[in-house]
Amino acid sequence: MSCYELEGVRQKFNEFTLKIEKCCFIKGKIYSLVGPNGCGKSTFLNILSFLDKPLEGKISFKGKTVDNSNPREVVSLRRQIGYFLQNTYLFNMSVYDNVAYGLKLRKIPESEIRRRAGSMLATLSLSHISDKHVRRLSGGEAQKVALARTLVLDTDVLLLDEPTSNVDKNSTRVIEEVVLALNKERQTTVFVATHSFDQAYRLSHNVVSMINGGIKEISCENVFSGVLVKEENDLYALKLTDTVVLKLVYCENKLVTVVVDPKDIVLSLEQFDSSACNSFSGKINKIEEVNGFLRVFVDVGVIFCAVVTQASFHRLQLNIGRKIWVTFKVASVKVL
Amino acid sequence: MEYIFAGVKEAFRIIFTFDAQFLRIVFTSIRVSTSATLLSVLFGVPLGIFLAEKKFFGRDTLVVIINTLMSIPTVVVGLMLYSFLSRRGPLGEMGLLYTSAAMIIGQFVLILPIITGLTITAIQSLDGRVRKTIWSMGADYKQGLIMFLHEARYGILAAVVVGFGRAFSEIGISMMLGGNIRGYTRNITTAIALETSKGEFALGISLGVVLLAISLVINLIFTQLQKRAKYELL
Amino acid sequence: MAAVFLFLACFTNTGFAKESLKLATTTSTQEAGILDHILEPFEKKHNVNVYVIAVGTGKALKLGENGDVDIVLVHAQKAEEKFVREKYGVNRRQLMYNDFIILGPEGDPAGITGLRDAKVAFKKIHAAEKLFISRGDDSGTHKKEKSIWEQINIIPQPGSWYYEAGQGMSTTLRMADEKDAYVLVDRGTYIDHEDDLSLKLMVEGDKDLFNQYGVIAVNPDKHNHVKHELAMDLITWLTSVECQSMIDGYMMRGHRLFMANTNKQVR
Repeated sequence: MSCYELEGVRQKFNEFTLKIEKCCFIKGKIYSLVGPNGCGKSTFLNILSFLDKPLEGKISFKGKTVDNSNPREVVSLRRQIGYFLQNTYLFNMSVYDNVAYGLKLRKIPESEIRRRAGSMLATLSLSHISDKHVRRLSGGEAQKVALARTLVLDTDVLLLDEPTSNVDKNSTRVIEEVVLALNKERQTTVFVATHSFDQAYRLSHNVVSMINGGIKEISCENVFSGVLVKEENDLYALKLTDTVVLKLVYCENKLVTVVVDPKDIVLSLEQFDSSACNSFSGKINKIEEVNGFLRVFVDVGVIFCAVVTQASFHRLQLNIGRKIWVTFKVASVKVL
Repeated sequence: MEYIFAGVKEAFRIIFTFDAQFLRIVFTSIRVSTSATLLSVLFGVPLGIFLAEKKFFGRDTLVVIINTLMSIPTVVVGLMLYSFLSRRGPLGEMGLLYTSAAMIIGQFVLILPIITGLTITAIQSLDGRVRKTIWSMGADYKQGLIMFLHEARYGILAAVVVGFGRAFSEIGISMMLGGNIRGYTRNITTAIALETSKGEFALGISLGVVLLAISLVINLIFTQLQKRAKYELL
Repeated sequence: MAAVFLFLACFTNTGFAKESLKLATTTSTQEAGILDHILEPFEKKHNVNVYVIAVGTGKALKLGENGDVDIVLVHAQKAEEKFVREKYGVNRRQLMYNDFIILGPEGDPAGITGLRDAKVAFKKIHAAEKLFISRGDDSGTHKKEKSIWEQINIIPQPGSWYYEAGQGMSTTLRMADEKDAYVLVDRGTYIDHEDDLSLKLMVEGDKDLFNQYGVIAVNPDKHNHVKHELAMDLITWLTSVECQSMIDGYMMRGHRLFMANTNKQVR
């Protein structure tokens, strides 16, 4: 299920423009945003957090198109998102009041606020300074307080802009553990903007690299993750199930997420014999009509989605339950 | 010289015996200026936050106008409102001229730009991250407003104090719209003017002492607020 | 320091050749314009500038007491006599008189129109509790008003029907007009504002309402810096036949304002 779908999004930042043609982020994944300073990471997160409205483009959140001009809707969307800002600001009150603030905004009962804020402060070893005024904190402490203020909200989506830039190694480890735990237990979708490639690979399922406001296209369909195995001829294999093993061209890291554009998939009744192709057979389990095209979902052990024209649909006499071959070029398997 | 000493002596007698006429004058000043300040805060602070936060066509011009009006002479306000409130004016029907309500309206008009302008400054001098942080936490408009108030509270309080000080010490509006009617619209400044014109110094001096004392307190509060604000901006 | 004085000198318009004389008087004489009229020949003859400080009678006498002026021209007989008795002033001479009138709102709720006795009019206003606005600034006009209340044994308390404006005559008159109130006013100020007023003239001609102006030189024994000789010259001029006839001839918008009476008694 998709968490965010973006299409044709444009946003100005400094003298650059952030351009996202089409991309999709899956619920429950951890994405790392890497790229040089000023490549648009924060601008991108501002859009995902619904703080800023893009100049143009369409955004869907949890499958629904977002109406950015409706203030009520924007507030309710923001409340489903925990956003840790870069160079974060703490309100002029105690540590505890800062951590409790977001929960108060969400009108959560006082007793629960106390419980949740208390346990979050304990997790990040901040309990001993909970009554301190924030202007008396060290830089690292302040950063942790701000993080606690975001994490305590227990939102479906977490946007973390350089969350560990200012804290020591030990705290970095604790913070990463908390984020991983939230992702695992609550299927929280996480975006981490970071300078550290180590952190990006340690933490995330997908590394999204941004350069000059551009972002690699990410489709919502046919997205698979797994461990790469090297094969002959510079090819690698990604084992999805015992029977389904994707072949793809070279990629540098081991844990990968790949995507296959549904338009690149060919359906046929017989198997194409080609070593440069991935080819699997399976049964059709769903057919949708979209804009005159048909989206055919084939279960080959994993589900593939293919887009076909009305003409080929009728030529192949496709229907649910029919056995069919799914074929696509090795080069169509794109690593995210 | 002697008459000054005599005046000062008599002034302190008036102050410490809580002379009824003296108290009445002081009370009128406090009542009128406090009401005007509250009214101005009610309109000026939200307006200031709005102008500091929202961007719309003509906002900059509006802010320039407000900043200009911050130093509007009291007699101009007096004259303007006099022509409106006078029997021949558009609001003459209400019979407000020469009442304390007219003084309150006048002082309200006088300090509204001050409180609005200084609120704009207070909000704009806030850390740029405050805005983003508040909205990113999921605050709705009202909750956000409250947090802005909280974060800029010392700056805004300073604005209120300055506004009150200006209202409290002005004379033009009180004289022109209130009329300096004894026991009714006579306040500290108009009373001092009258006592001086009568050549009586004792009551004038005692009122002057009160005016100075209140100005001193206002300044102390103001300095303290600025210190606090600086501390929090660290 | 010298530069500062030079600077000040430029602005104070003293003129190095001319002598100057400071005269404290009441706003009513200033506003009526008669002073310019009768002082001009004196200034020419003696090559002197007369600086007119127009304030309330009380303040004018105070200025004299403090030696801030050389001569005072006011209208409050009792206070003037006290001023001389206490040796602040010498050589008091009566000069001229004008008169006060009582104005009231259209409809005349207290019913005083046509009365010739100010005391009866005041009694009626008090009995009807119709709004009366007093100068309340210790001026000659205020003193005159208070003397009338005293004569009928009423001490009006500021409150529902009696306002003390504590301001000049014009302001008080405008306030009365705005509030539809009764007011005691000198004829000069009334004539000056007649066209703008909705108030009507109701009581005039009572001897009690006559307003005697006197001129007093400040006592040089108390303040030896005062220009006593020049002050005496001015008094001589003001009480001369020539000046007295100028006073009688002075017209404002077609009305005669002041009656010269140096050599006559008012009552």
